[in-house]
Amino acid sequence: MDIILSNSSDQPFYQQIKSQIKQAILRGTLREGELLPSIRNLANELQVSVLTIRRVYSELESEGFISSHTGRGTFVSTIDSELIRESMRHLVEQDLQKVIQDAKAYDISQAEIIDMIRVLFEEDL
Amino acid sequence: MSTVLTVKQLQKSFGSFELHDISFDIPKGCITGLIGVDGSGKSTLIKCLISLIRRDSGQVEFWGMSIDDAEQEIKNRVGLVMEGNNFYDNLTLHETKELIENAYPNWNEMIFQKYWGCRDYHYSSRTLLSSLSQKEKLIFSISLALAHNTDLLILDEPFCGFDPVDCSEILVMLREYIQDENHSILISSPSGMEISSIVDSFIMLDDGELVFHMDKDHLLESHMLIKGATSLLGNIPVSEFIKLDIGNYGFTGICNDYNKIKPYCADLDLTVERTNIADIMMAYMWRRGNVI
Repeated sequence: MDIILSNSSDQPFYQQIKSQIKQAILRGTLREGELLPSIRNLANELQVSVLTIRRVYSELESEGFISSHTGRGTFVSTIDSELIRESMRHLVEQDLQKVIQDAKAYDISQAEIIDMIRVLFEEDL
Repeated sequence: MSTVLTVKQLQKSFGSFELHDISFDIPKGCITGLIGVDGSGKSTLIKCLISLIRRDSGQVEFWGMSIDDAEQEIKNRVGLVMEGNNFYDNLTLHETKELIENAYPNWNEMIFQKYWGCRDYHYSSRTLLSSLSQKEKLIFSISLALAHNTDLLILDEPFCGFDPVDCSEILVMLREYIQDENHSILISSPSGMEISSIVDSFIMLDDGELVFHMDKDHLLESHMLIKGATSLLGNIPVSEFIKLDIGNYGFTGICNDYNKIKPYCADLDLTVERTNIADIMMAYMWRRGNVI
């Protein structure tokens, strides 16, 4: 798994790290049951504060992606397929939101956008 | 998260200088950077914490024990590396080590060997401390300070006069030590720049007062550097800036809470950049009227 932090991104580090770990889980780069690095280890590697990593881990845990076991470490959870579907949908939704923002800025109508998506979808097939 | 050190309303004055109402906690497993320019009170504070000098009032507790009641027990668990090294230059390495080893009942030779052992063969039993380079001296001091099963390592301005290569070698040692989640580090630095990559939170002192104690990433993500055309200043909540420079070709400011400025940035085409700990420190000093 790679985690690339950008200093010029508008997103805080904890969001950048969280979304990259989540993507790694959804794409299968991090597999079910796999051991994640310790909080201190990841903080050292990424040169961020342990509090940032602790926040990432606790949010990912409450969202059901990872689970921590005292003394043993933090592992990738068995994720039910509905959660995976939901998360993937959410990722696509986020990208679409950006598209919609751009469309509004360039004065492109809803109908035009939907057409575009339809055409692109078919081309891709 | 449990606490290693709790300081409440610490006061100390001598001459015209005063440490004023200092309160903070240091959590276990964290590296805390104590920053502030020369004369801000960093060394005085560190000396007060471990009773090298007597504080006037306030409480200092390590692991829930008051330094007044359990000084010896606390000192056995704290490793101290003070500025300039307080060892005798005319002693040999061997003599210095024996001196320290005998002072601590909980000396652990394995830890000492882990940090210093790999270098030891360069030196004979007659090598004087004064013949070591600045960096070697610091590595030797840290090895001694860690070797009594130390749970908290305190370093007072260890990097004075160090180049970046030497610095990073020491940081590797500190990273290794902090891997154990029962260990904690308090490290002081005038600018915070050399230690920024390893610390978890920063405490800033200025003129004997505590200015902020914040998580590093939160500090760097809330104090953004904002630039834009001077004509736009009327549309931005200027009071959110801790420092604002208005030049002939636009303004540059460091804001206190980026979330409050963020909504204006895209609309007004402002440039937003991360800044660094030294610039944030200077901005606070500027606001407090202690720097031009």
